[in-house]
Amino acid sequence: MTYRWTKWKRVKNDLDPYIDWSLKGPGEDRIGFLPGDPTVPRDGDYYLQTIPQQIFGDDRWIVFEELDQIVVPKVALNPTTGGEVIPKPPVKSELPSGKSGTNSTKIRKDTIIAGVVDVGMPLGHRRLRFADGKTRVLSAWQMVGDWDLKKQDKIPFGCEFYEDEINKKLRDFSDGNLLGRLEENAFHQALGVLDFSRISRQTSVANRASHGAHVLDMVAGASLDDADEFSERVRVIAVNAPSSAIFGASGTYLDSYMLHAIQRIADVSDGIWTKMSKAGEEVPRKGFPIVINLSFGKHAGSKDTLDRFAAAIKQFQDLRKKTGKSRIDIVMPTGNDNLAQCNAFLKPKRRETLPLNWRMQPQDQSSNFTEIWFEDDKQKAKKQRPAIELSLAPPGGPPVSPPAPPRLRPGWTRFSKLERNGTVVGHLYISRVNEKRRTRSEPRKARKSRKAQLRYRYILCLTPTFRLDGSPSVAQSGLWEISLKNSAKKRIQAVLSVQTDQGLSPNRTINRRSYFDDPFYLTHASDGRLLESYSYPKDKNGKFQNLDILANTPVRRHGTMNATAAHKAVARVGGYRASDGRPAFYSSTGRGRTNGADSGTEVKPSGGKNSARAPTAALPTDDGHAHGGILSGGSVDGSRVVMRGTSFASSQAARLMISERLAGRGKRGVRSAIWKLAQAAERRVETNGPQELTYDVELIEVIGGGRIPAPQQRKPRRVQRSPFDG
Amino acid sequence: MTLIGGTHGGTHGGTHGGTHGGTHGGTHGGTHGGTHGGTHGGTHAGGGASPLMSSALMVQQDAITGFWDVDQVNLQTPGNSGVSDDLKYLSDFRRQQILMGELCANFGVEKRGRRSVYLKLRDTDICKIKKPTYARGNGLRPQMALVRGYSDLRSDRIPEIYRQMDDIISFYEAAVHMNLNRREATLHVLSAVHSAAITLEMQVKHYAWMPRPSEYAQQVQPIIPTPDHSSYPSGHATEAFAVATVLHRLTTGQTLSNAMQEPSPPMVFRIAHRIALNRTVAGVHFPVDSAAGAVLGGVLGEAIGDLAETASGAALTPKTLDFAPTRGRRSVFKPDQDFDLPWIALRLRPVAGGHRVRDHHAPLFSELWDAAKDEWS
Repeated sequence: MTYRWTKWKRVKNDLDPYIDWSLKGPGEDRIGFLPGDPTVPRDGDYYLQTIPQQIFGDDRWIVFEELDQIVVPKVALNPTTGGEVIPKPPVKSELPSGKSGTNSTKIRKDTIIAGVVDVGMPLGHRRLRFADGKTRVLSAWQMVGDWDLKKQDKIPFGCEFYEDEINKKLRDFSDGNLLGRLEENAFHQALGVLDFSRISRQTSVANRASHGAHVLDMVAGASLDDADEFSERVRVIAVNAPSSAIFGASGTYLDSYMLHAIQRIADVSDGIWTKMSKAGEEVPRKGFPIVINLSFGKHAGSKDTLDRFAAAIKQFQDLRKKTGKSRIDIVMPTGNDNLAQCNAFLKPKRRETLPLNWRMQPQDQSSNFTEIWFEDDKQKAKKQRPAIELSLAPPGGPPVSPPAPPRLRPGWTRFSKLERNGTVVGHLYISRVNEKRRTRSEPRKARKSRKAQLRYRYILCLTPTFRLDGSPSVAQSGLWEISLKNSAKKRIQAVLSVQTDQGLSPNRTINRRSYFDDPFYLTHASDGRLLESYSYPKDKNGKFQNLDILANTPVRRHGTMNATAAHKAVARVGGYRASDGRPAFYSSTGRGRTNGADSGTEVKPSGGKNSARAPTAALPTDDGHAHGGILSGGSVDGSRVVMRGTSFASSQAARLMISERLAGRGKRGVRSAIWKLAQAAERRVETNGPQELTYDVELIEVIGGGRIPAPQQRKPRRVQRSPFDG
Repeated sequence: MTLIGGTHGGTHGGTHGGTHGGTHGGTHGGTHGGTHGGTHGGTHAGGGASPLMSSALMVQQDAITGFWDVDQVNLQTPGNSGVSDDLKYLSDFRRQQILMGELCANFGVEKRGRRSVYLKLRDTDICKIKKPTYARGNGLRPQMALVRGYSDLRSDRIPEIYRQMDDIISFYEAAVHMNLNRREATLHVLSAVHSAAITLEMQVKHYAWMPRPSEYAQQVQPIIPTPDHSSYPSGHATEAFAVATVLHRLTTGQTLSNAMQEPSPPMVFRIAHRIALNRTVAGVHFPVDSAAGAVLGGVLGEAIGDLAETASGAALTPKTLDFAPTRGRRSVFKPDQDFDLPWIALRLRPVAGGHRVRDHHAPLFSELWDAAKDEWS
């Protein structure tokens, strides 16, 4: 077999590399274009749209062009705009008035908005309603719901229903009685939450357990007798997000969908506030406080403020602050990739070449991606060649090097194709990250003082190892060797991350994730226990051991943090085991820092809460050794199910944040508030708990400021209480 | 009760065995099991038959009877005490054979034309099941899209799907408490209804034969064995709705039409719906199969209730409901219609037809029905 790389070329239309791969490479998505697509749109077609992410009424919003590229299923796309889909503010007359009526409710001045973005959120549960059966949900946008269900001109895709419409539907499907039995499936079908018949179907909520049901109940579900008037004062703005079938197996469109969701929550909340204000209703000064839970993420990325999602969120928050609008607190999970062998640090010296094995699994029906990030801050020319050169050796074959990397200006991306006997089996994209565009909303002083950086990103894409259509465009399964050669005069650290790889269809197991396979990476200790980021409990010297430091391998658990959350704009929450406080083995680890810089393989404790790559705190995601996962709402009203993962740490933290707001606390921001709660909780453990379980800053990369007990939503979860129960 | 399972086939055996065997065997143990269940295969008063037992009895006879001169021994005069119309002198299996035979003698199935099959109570049509007019070419595509959608739920439903292959009664028991110690008559009624439904539905299936979803598209790939009989109407739906209709009437006195006018369908009908829908999740039925089965089963259950509550020879006006799905705007079940609870609540409302039936006859079943009703009074 003969492998060769083609010459470097420019990406047509400056598409995001992942999108370019899915369109032109042998990707697995079926994506068409509008307008001008000659084919008749049909179910199952997805359209690549340019939908601006823009803040209304503010021309300072910087368009992140890559984030404007979003793929939308035909069924959800607003067809009235002829392809020019632009989001518009909610229509004032449709928004809740804040006055009590047949299908509306009084919105109190001290209301807190719980913004919940998730997949498969049920909307009729009793814990989301008032005593009279009316909903506490102010609006629900089903992002890929059937547009025809509502036919809203002002929404670019999906269907959005407001309080009065939801209450009407609740009546319709409860035989006219809001306190009667609700036909949940029919109700959800009418709101676009549930759809069995389309290719882009949404069936999560028909399962016994759905991610969205679990999260929504934790964030905003409440019994009528809850303390602090939770059910009276906390109102929900829900955004039912698409499943991974639409995000793309590797989360290609995740950032774009999330930003649309965040903006819509803000617009609806602000819109209601303005409407009530103009009608002379009592409202808070700057708008309703908003707490948003985003239990999403993907693995590969810059994992800092260079991340386009992070930059967009920061800009969004800055503009809200400038225009005097209420704060939005965003909570996200740290991720569940801790033991996925998907993160590595290579630090080649001058002229040194370092290899790393990347294993492709057989029968994998999805593409595989590795991102490689590095900085070269000595080079300051406008047009520069990256200092790291990459070569790739297929299983059993010699290394094949692409042509020398091209000279790049900021923002440029070029790609080369990997061909095997003339058939494309991979792409390599190299980008010089455009750090200037992200800085416009920063104060002039800060922008000028910031040290110039030259950051580069390789994205290495390989085709699936198995294809149903028999196409020869399949990558060989087995060990591929990635080699990085440093042509700079100094040592450079490169961060390698395998991108998230989820199934495109529900409950399918055809996506097998690739991983770094280094012979010195140990998955288990000699006694058969899983090797985690740190030993637990403390050893006889009263220390937690950093197990990554002890291993001589570039593959690290440190640095596995969810890329979408690895920045200062949000609070990041990991998981721990409630019975003994042990960090959850799957809960991702921060990167570890030394003097503010990446420490790579020599992982040291980080510098406190400002370490943006460490979790903010941890909440219980397992009940005990034999009881993995934690209880929360199931899909059907009244049901309870166990689910596991840091998504549910995030949702608990969002609830805590809401409670802080209800109590008038936590005004400094979500990260500080949660950090403070964590520290206070650890002080209680220090007083009451056994010393070998108490907090140590060594664990900051997995549990942040500390382990917070689960917020009590119903009854205490376990009979026997541990030091980590509140 | 494994005896029934042995001769009567998987469905009935499983159903009956599941409910009766589990509770009966567990609580009554060997003695009662021997008397109550042990006639068909030949169990003894105190335990099961075996070559060892036969050998033991042979030795006993040899040891204690001595020389047997038949001419010297006067024959006894056996009484018929215990032999009554409540059939309690018989094993469950025999009772069921008699009850089902009696019930089925009142019903008939007749094919008319190429696409229609009628269920009759004596000579009166009570339900017409017509094949969907859109079941040609790609007409079933919208139905197939729903099969695809429901296949997403397979991993969630495997336990239910698998158990319901041979036992549906236990799922009603979860909501309506009954076992052979308490409400024995009710269980016998349900078992007879279930058996009658199978016997009749199989005839309807034969005359209204349609292929299974997996024969239309290789992508369906059911997760359980695809049955050999027709997809249309669904047997599970027929049985589940017949049982639900009868059980609801026994426990509440409500007819099917009245039940469907409740604010939402009562629990037993939700269970029936779930049982039927699970077959679509498994990949062996279209939703339209289940809808046809629900109509057929609902009408049958209603007719059995009427039959049981009307004295032999007295006039009975049976309720009727037809199912003839088309593409038309006013169709009872359009190609893209899902088999959901709102549809059931709206459509499952048989009404009294014009014809009177007098020559019905089910005295043994009526007696059992009365006993079952007493269990809920």
